[in-house]
Amino acid sequence: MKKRKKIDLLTVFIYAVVVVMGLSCLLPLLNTLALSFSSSAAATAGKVGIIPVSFTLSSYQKILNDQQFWRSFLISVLRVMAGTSLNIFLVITMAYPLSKSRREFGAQKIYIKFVIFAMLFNGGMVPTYMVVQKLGMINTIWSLIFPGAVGTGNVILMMNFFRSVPKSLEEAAEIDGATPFQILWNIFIPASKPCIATIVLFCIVGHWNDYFSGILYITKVHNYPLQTYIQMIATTFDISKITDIKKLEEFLAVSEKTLNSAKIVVSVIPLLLIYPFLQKYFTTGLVVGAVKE
Amino acid sequence: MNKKLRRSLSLLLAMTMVTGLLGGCAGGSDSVDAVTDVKDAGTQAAGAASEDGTSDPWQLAATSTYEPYPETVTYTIGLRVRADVAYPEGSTDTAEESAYTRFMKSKLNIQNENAFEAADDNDYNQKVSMAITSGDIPDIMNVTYDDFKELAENDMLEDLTDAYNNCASDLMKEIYASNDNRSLDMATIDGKLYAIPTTAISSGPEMLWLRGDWMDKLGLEEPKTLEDIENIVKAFVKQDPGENGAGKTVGIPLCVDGDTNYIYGNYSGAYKANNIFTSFGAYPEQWIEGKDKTAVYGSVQPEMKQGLQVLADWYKEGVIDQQLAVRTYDDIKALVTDGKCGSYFCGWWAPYDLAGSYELNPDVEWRAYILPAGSDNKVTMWSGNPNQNYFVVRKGFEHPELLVKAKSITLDYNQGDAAYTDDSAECKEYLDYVAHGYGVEVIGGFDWYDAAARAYQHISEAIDGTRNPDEMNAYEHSLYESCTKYLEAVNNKEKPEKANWLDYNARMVASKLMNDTEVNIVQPVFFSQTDSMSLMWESLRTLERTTILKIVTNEISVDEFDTFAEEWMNAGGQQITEEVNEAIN
Repeated sequence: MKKRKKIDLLTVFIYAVVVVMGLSCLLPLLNTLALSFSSSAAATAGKVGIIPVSFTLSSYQKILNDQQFWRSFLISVLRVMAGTSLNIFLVITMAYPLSKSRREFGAQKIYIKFVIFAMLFNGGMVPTYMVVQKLGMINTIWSLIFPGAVGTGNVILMMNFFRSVPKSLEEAAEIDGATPFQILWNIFIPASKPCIATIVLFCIVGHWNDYFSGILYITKVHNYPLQTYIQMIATTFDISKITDIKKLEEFLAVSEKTLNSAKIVVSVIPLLLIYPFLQKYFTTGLVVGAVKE
Repeated sequence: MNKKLRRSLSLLLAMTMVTGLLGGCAGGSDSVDAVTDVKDAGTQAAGAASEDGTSDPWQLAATSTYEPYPETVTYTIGLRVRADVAYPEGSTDTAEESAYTRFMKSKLNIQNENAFEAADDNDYNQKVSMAITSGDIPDIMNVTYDDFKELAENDMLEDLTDAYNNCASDLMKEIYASNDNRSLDMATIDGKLYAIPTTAISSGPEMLWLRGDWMDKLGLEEPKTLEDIENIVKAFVKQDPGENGAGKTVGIPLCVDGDTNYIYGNYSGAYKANNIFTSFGAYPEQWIEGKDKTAVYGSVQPEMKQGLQVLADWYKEGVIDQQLAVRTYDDIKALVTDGKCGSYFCGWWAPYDLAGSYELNPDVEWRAYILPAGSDNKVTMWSGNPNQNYFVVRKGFEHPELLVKAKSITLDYNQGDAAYTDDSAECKEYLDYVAHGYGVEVIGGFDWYDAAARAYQHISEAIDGTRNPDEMNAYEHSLYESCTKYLEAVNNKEKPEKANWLDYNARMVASKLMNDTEVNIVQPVFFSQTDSMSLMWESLRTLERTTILKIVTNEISVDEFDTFAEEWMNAGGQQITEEVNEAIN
């Protein structure tokens, strides 16, 4: 006898909500994509939905010649590479000792409390700015990397994952004469690949998408990371303050929807390329980390 | 052993490479020392030479317009940059090293070092505030009037009176005189000049822009009165000359999107109805001189009621866009571009915003009219703030005249005709940057108050053959060339290029109208903020804007205006009015 799955009202409702939420994420992206391939007149006339109107590649041609865009792009790539490496290094070296039991590492609890405290409370924007400034990092790429170098949330995620690695593996390695560093490198890191991949993804996305630290710490436009640059061109220009023709020309150039859309599309591509490779770890990495022995 | 050493060496090498790579982005920080050295050298040289007479090159540079400094003077600046900043292909220029900085170095031997840069006005002003609060301001900044006053009151600014008298070129003085020196007056405190203001050019009278091809199609006469406007727009909406389908054509749009757009205010901005109010003697959102010679706030004066009555009636008749309360600026622009709206108010610059309209429909024809006239048969406009921003010099900066000198040179090459006689490589590169809008001008210039009308006069004279096309500045010359291309295309029965169509309609059609139409000009008396405004203005403005919107959309009757005016006064308007009067006396 076959059991027919009952379709009740709740299921329909849940599906409806999920579909609406999914569309609300997808449609703006498709609209941006369509705008970037449309003629600027069609875009201004509000004719573009999710399919390009009077298809053209002119926006992308313009981007190819835009020095500042690529300079910012490069800075962002550099930041992601350096920042993510540092993040991962610090997260692993911090999470590993914290994952040990209290017998092996006496002060473990105090350190964990310290981490959780730092997760909940911080100095706030201005004091953080002053620290960065006094350390002489203003207008350098370090100001984008160091303030968020230790992701406390990631440390806890990593710590829990390390704890779920079977104790016997570690003991076996110890008996074979492995040093703590060798145990970390040869046992724990290979066993934690899903979790590390997840954190790498978090860090890459975080570094790539962050525009605010660029506004705060970078004082020169030619040093802006990509998202700060895009934020600068995408903010609404105040047309009522236009008092001369140069300002008007700037307004018209900046309010060119198609070009701005193309810039956004190009800025999304790197993440779209990375995602498929790391996504398979994504769900396992998160869930397994939360399960304890 | 050897192997280990090699490995650690390669690791070290790799680390050095990474640091080097990242360090490339840093820059800036070490050059500070070098700068101080130059400055020290400068002061020493100046000090040493002043003892033995006036032939000293530093003294000469400090008191003349064009004399370069004997050694490179480096100054720090808080720079406003363009949001769409771009450089020529393949160039590695930045705002600190570009055609502009090389040009200034070749002319005056000065070099900028940017203390901070920002594109967005709010962002820039915030950085200025931060600099003021920390007491560490760059040598030169470009600030708002409020920041200018604060800086001057706190004695943080260098007195520029002597620098202006010694070093300002005649052209600079002439340009300031084009607005009766109002710009300089606002920058003068107790008889001392504390800033070189950037002038705002006159926006000219607001115009009603109508689709001429629709008017011809429906056989409509040119409008002269309020009634004519009403009839034309009604015909547009009801008879649908644009073939949009019944009910798809909207009337006159009024933009109430966001903080800065409203039914009125900001004269000659897009999608407003200021002229309706001025034709009845009302000047909304302006501080003007009232009947008893004191300053009053225009939005709460009884003259407003007649203008509001017109708008409310028009709304009821469908002459005004029925959805005005919910349309964004972009929505309205889309309607205009798409041919769903054939009537709106805007300044002479409207064609620059109509590129899409022409591209989608080359047969489109926009006509501009300055109306409605008041009882004296003239349209009344109010003038804007004479200045956009104020360039100020930090107190204690050794070369305050540097600002005046750099501005004079910029004006010579942009507003004057120096560009035609200078064939240095730096000048050529500079002009190329200006023409293409590359990079960021560091000190920059400003323009004649009547720049738009002057441009029209020069271009039309050149087209008529009464002026040599070289006898105008470079920017006007490029407009002249664009307009001739338009005329050529029309003569050859070809479709004119979009850019030429825009230039011709803005510079020859709308500017001609502006130049030929005599209007009354009312001067507002106050453009700044008073102390109580920072606390109360937000709520007063919300009260004003919600009430007026309700009146226009027929939610409440025009008679409610009196209640509103009283409420406005009691809610702090009275106090602010008193403060404004104190401030201007």
